[in-house]
Amino acid sequence: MTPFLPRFIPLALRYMQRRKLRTAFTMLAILFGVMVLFGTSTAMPVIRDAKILSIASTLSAGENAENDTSLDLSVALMNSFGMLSLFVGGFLIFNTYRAVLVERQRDLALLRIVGATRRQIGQLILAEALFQGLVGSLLGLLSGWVFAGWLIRFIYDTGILPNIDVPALGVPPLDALLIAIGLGIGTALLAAYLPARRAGLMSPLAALRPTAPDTERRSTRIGWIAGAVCLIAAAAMLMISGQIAMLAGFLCLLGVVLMMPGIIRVSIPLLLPLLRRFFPRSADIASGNIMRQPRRSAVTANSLMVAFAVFVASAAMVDAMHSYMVRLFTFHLASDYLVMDQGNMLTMITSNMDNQRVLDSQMVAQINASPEVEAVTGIRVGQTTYQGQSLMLVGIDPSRTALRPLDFAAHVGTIDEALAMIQNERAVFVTPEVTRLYGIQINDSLPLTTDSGSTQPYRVAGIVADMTVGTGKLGLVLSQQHLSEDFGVQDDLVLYLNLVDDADPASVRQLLAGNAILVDVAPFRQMGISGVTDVTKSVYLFALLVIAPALLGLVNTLVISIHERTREIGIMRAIGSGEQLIMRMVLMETLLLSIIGGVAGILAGLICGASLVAIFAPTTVVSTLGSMEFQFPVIGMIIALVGGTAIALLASLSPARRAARMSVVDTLRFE
Amino acid sequence: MIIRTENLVKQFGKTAVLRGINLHVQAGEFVAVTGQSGSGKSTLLHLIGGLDRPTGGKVWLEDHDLGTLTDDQLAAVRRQKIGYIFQIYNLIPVVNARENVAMPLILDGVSRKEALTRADRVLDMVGLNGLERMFPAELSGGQQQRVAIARALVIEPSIILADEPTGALDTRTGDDIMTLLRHTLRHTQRTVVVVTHDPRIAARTDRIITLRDGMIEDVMSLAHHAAPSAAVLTIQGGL
Repeated sequence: MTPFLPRFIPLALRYMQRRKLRTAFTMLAILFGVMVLFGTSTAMPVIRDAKILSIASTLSAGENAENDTSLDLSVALMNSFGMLSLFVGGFLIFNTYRAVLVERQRDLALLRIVGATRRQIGQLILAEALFQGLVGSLLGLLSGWVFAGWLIRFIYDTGILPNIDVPALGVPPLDALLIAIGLGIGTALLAAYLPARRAGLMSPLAALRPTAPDTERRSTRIGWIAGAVCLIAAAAMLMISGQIAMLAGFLCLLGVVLMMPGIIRVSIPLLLPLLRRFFPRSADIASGNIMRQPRRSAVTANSLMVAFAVFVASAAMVDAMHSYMVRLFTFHLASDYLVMDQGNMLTMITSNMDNQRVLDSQMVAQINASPEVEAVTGIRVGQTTYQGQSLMLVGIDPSRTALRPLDFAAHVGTIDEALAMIQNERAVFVTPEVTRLYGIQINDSLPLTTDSGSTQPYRVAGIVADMTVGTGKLGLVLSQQHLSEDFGVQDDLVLYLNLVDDADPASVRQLLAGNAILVDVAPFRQMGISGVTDVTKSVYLFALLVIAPALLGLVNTLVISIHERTREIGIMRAIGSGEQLIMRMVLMETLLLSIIGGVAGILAGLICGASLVAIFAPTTVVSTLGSMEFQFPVIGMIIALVGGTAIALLASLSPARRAARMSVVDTLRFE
Repeated sequence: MIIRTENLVKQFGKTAVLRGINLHVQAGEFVAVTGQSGSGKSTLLHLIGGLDRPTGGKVWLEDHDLGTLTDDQLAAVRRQKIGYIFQIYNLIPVVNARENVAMPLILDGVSRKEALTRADRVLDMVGLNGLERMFPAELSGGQQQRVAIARALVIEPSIILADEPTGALDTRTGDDIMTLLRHTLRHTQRTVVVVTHDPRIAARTDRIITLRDGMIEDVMSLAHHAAPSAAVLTIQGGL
């Protein structure tokens, strides 16, 4: 920076002082980005440590807890929200500066005329960005700290961290602090850099003239080409690897951003006949205004597009998660009733069933013999070691899997043959995590340590995702007979049962001993599903948090767009346009841009959503149930289109009304 | 010779706006450039002021061949040697009068404090004492144009270029502005080139250069600076 930069601070401050609203919005956009990023990056290590502690306290051995802990899906999701928020914030600031520079084109030209160099013009913009980045980042850090505390509490409340107290938020890690503030200021400077450079390159006279149509056409053509290159690159990335899907999503958004002026040029003439039918007086003026400077219109449309895309992408991801979790609950809880120790109830939901209280064997025998019970099967849990690592053993009755289905990813022969194999010989089903960690395949032989200390070879007969073991954990499923013979486990942890028709559950309850309870599965299943739904709703809230900067940017660009046309609106008033017509014209423009930005945003959001699901799908189990799959987020799309358009119209209402009600003389005098 | 152009040509696309202008302006001279709309008056002013580059020919400002200067060198020439006055004032709306006037000095590296002190002095000179802290929107058209003149004068330029400086003002205010320019010129020995289509304004200068279709049609020296002569009015009326 040259020594000139401080000289521009008073002028930059004056611009900010005179344009308080847009300055506040820009700083809020930075604030939100830094808040979400700093909040997640501060809370995540705390959550990760707490998770390790939580697992260590539930594992009897306690060893290898860290290895056993893959980052939880929800924590990874938070991380991606942080990145998304930063991207949205950065894009919006970029968009705002672009709009600000279009608005200030004349002022900047004037500075050039009185002798400002290109570099000085750039410095003026960067001085403003620096100030906004600094203030926004500092406020973002403070809000991020509060947000981190809330996030930890939120994660804790979901039951992911059983057996420990709410983890405390310690001193923020210095790297997270520096990264957040650096990215906040850096994003503001980076977002302002291109517009500042562009402003500097503008010749003094060119800046005093309106943009020539041929320049608009040329840049629109370049936008089509660059946008198409981005989209093709994004598609190629998605085809090559799911790992770079996030980058592909960003490229896709960038592609649509670049193409937006072209999209506007193409779509407005298509929408015009329809609009003329409903709004004969204002349709032509509104569409003319949009078409006159598609690049300026694209700034507003892109704000909406990014907001819609992020929301729809988040909705697609959340819906995919929700649908997957509902499938899991519905599939695994196939019996009508469960019998379990009351103390195990909570940990049943959180998939931590090891080291729990078992059922009284005499009671189990009585339930088995009861004429009121149509079918019953139990689950037993033990432990073994393999290659020095503790593995969970789940004992099932292979002849009664109808009450508690197994979720096969692969198996020898048919499912019946695989079940017969674990019944008749020393064979196990392994979880996908075991195959990943040890490189085990079907038909491999696993030497497992028995309770007597010797080893017995067990053949791998299949790969299953078992709810008892939990997603992403190390576990083996074998027959109760072998669990008893080799590992000495004979007691059931849970019974799954169906009663005969017209049976009274009370007759079974009479048989219960100790703390055992009879759980009606239907409401229990519903409770699990509604738990997932609650989490889903919370993630929707996160999505709203991410799009908050986008909405702020939208309001900002609308205010700027109308503000810069105050004089033009005055001219229209002077030649006889009434307040109503001005209002309708502005609202119509917003509506048109909302439709274009909304449709483009939904399409981009669906692609980004599919990319997100592609990233997270491998972290869910691959099984007969299928892994997490992309879902069309119909509700999210409707919320985005209706809500986004409504917000856009509301946002434009106030500046439109202000412009319409200004005295004609004042608007004509406006500079 | 402070301004000299040699066979100056400017084209916008296929349209030739200036077609071989040869112009000489002496230091301390007050020159009017007149002509119909589209005759090339403003374009000529932009080229002399280094705001635009010619398609052909040369522009000399003092010793500088403007065509050979880099963008930053041109900016420095504008900053140090040229004061601009526009028809619609072109003040920066977010800063007050004294800050507007101080802007070229700040851009040139003068300390903010000194720049503002000098701005106050010039504002006083143009009759805006007491209005230094008003924003452009709070000033009348004539007052805004005085601020613009102060901004042009504050850098103590060799030459002042004025593009229809009274075009947006009523007759009386326009006369006041011209008197101010004339008065300033007399006291500071600056060169002024004013583009106007108003014969009354043109008649208050030393020399009237009339453009037609991008070429100099007529050059008329005026011996006095009183009311316009009948001859001048006839020429202007005929255009």
